[in-house]
Amino acid sequence: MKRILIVDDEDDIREILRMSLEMLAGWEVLEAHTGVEAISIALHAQPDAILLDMMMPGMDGIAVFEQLQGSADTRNIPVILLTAKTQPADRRRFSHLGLSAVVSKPFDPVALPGTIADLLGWNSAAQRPA
Amino acid sequence: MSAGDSPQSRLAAPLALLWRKHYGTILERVAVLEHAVDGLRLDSAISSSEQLLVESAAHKLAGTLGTFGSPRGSEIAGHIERLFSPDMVVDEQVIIQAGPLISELRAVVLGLALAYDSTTT
Repeated sequence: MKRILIVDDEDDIREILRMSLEMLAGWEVLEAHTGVEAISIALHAQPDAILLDMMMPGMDGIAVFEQLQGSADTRNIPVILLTAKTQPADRRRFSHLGLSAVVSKPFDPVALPGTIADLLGWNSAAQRPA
Repeated sequence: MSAGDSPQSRLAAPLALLWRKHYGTILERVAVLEHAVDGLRLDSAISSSEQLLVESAAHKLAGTLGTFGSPRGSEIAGHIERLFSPDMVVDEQVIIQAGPLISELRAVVLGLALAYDSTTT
């Protein structure tokens, strides 16, 4: 079973993400609502991937990603940035960071597990849990 | 897999529950926008902190409404977010544009609420 860490300061978004990823893909979902919490959980739980919100108070998604990249223990964890910033300039900025992928907000909770699985090459994982 | 076992149908009831749980917060965010425009109509000025508050409320609505099934709601909220971004001067034109957008946004939210009310949980 895949283990995925979702990082978002908004309760409603975290809860929709959890519902989607648990119910449709059967993945184990861990949650963080701040960047600091995300780094700590990533270090200790070693998730298979991190779904990281861009705009959070305090440490934003980019700062979290850079910290994860700076540690040998977390730099190999794939990170998907979740963002409503979808202007071409934003896309250009994100493309230089080394993220695994960028997913736009709003997202379709029905399609999301398949999207993540495709982006990360987990194509057989977005299935109904046995 | 039967039609009733589709991913859409499996998420329908839990998504409706989450909508009901967070509906109050969504309405509060719309109210932040309405309050700001009402204030602007009175004195045509907005503090930088209130502008940030409005941008943040609009940003959150833009991320949430489409996920709950209203792409139009996200589109409107995104437009409002850009009108109130910190690099924008909030002037008469912004007030003229934002007023109808915020009215439409409230209508979209109330429409979503009606749709979710009819979802069996």
